[in-house]
Amino acid sequence: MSTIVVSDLVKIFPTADGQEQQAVAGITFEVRAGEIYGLLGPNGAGKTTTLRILSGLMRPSSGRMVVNGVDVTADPLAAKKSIGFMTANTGLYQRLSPRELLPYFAELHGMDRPTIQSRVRELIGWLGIEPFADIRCGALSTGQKQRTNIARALIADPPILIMDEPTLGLDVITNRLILDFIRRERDQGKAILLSTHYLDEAETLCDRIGLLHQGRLIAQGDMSTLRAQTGCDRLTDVFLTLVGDTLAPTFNDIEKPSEDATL
Amino acid sequence: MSRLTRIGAIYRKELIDILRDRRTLIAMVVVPVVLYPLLLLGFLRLADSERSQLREERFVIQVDDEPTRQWLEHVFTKIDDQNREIREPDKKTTEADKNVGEGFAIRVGQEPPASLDDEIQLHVCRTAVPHKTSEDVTHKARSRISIRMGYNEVNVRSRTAMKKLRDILDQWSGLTTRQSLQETLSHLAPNERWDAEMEVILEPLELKVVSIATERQRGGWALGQIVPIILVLMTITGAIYPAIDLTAGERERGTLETLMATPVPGLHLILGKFLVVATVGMLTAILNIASVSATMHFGGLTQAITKELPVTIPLSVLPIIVLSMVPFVLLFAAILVAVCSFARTYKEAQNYVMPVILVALIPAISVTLPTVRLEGTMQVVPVGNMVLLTREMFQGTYTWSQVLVVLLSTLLYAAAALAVAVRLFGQEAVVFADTSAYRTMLQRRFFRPVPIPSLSQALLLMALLFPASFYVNTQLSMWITDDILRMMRWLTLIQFAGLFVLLPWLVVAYCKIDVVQTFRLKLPPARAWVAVMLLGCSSWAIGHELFLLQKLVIPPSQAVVESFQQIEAQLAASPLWMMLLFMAIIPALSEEFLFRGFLLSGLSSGLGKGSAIVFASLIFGIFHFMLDKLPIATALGILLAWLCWQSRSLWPGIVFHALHNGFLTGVLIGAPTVAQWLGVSEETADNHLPIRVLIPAGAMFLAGLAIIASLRTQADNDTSHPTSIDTTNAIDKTERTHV
Repeated sequence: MSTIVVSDLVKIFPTADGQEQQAVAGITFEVRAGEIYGLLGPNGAGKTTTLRILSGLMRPSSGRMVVNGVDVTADPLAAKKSIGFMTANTGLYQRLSPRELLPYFAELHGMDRPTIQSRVRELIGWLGIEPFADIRCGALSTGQKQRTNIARALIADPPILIMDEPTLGLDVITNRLILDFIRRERDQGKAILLSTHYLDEAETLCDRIGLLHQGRLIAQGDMSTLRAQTGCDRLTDVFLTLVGDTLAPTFNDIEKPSEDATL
Repeated sequence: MSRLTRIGAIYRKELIDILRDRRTLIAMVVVPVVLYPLLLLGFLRLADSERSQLREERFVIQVDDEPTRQWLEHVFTKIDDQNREIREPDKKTTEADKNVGEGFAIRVGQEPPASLDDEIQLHVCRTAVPHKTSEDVTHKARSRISIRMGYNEVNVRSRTAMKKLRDILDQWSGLTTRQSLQETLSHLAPNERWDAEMEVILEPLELKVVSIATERQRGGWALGQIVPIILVLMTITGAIYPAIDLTAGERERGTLETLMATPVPGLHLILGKFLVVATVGMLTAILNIASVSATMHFGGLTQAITKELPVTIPLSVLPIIVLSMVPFVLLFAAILVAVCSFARTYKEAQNYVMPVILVALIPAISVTLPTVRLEGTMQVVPVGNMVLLTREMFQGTYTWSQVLVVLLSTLLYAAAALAVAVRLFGQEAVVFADTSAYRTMLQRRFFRPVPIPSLSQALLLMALLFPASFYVNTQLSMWITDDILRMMRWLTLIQFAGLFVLLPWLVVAYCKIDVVQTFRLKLPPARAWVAVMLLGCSSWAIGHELFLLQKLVIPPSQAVVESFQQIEAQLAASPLWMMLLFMAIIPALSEEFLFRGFLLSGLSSGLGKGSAIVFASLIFGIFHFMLDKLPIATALGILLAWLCWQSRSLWPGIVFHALHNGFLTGVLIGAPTVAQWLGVSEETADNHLPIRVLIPAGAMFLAGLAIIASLRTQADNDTSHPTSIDTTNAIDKTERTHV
């Protein structure tokens, strides 16, 4: 049984001119335990919205999501208990140090005191937080912040991790550390759903990939399936081929940034 | 982990967070401890030096001609001579004893001065008008002097010079009157002494006005005027910054998203934050008051203020001040958290806060008018009622019924504001300004159908209904004093039909809330009707005994007793069916609809069974607007709410409520002999019920309770009702976005 099941998810936003816009236009996918599923797509494709809905931060306009056996819309609190949520631009409490911040989130997850202590010690060790554990978060570097953030998301040892661009703006060393960490969590049986801009990273990291474009999943599967489907070798070409096939008019918009491995 | 520990964890973290912020410390500690004393002392010093400067100042008077100058000089000399005569010869000359002439420089000018400002302050022209006097009496020719004194109203120095010269001329005038009178009288009868008569003629009335208020009362009065406003200002100022920082600030720093992703109900987050805002507001206010009192005490300001009126402000009022701060702080903290929860940025929040302060200050200031009293609708005006109550408390003129109405209504408003905050805080339209719009929160087409109203909807409607209903009741009883039936008809139309039924129904319809589930319109299990009959025929007896018990603790006020007697007398004259309709059936229908329908359902979406029942009943009790009715109405409310909860239906409550209200009325008027036997006829109304009535009634009541208790266990096992709202585990679902 899959840990995350999303079916026919739709999210409609009203726009400034009174029109309604479908940010997510009916997507269906599943993420199994012990699997890294990558949502890929250009800006505005609906990745972040999808992840936010799954984390219970937004309500879907229609559709059904089951997370660890819990319907997210019906009981968001129970669903949140089994999700560790993290984004690239998540802020940390600037006036608290990592050693103060981590127990706080543990308490919010309803963990008891002895468990909190050992779990915090464990995460601080694993992620190499010790050297800056007592410095207030406001004074930490981007990499240090992101490590703290990962620790925060993992504090309750949830079976599911939802990460919105976890490696955005990180240096090579922290990037490697975090990717290793994500793999390790996958190997321990967690279901990991992440979104990213870095296609080469997705190629090596993700077990399966869902390509999002204009709120729709235009293709999904592991790399070999996608290669076979399009006849292209690299993920960038896979994506451009698919987009070119289905939605030619927007082709130019996507190509514009033309950074090699980025969408 | 229990709810309390979690709210405690949030409270601790937010308090540490906010206390580590430099801006909080500046607003909370530095401003009151350093700035106020400096400002006050500086102001005092400035005022003092300004005063002495003005005293030492030499004002320039321009006159038109030499005779006027001479005349003025003559006036000054005369006053100086007079002053020297009065002064004790051995006393040292002080500044105030200076010759008046030294304060003025007189200058003769042909042309009137172009302007009166810092160079020349006054322009004096003198015209001697010949005055016809009876020369046969005085043999002296006197003339009336006419002076035109020009000054500049908008120039401080010119105005001061004018006052000073006017005082001198007045003094001269009095002196001259006395002299003239003396001359005239001694001319008429040279050998007699006229001193006594002269005093009578010059001052026919000697008036002394004496205040009988004690110094303490004066102190209370003075405090009552000042303290409420200070409390409003200081608690608001203290609460603004943390309110913004903990809500909009969290959104701006990007931590809100993380917080909302934790499995914590919005209610708990808001409660923790609200308590921190209230704590900081309270600390700031205490520090402010301590600092101001210390400055006043040590800076000599108390003497300056109380110079004219000796007052005593005992230290024992400090605890009262601190206590009366609590409701202010709770209300403002709740309102500020609600307002700031709506904001996406710090700046936006600051913009919202300004109007809130103004709106809070308007009632606070307007009620300081001495004619405004804490009565009628004033008791439920938010903020205004608290200001008035604080004033009454300092003057020692409050009643407990006022205290109760004011405190409970304030708490209700605070709860409603908090509920709004819970509704707004973490809303996707607020959290993700980039992708969504506020429209989704207001326009009906964006609403999803929900089974029951949310906690905030319920509390908000109650906070609106409370003053509205209070107003309707007080106004109706003022307009229509003689015809109780006419009043009941209006009350039915406006309050029962309009406010209690139509309004909640409109809310439910607009917000796509399920009508059947909210108002529990499904029929109950058959056994519920048996319980209703048992309770309906016996609860009057329990109520009667409870009322006697209550009388021992709270003696009913005379006004209440009289109003009851008046109503009863008028009712007795009406037909029985009409009485039952207005006193039993209509209130039962509408009150159940609102309190056990809308309110209980709404509360149950955010609270557990027990708290929902107790809160709904307490609000039901408060809505009776009378201290005497509160305990029994609340008890009845608890019974009705429990019946409704257990039977999952509104109908048994309606029938029981109508039976309870109508039983005694019906028996008293419809069957007087039965009333006699039951022991509730008019003459025995103050006695305990006879045992022959009490025992069966008690037994029936207990049997009814037992049946109610058994209703839910059976219904719980009954799986054929999967759609009924089981709210017992709703706690964990409060976060559902429609909280």
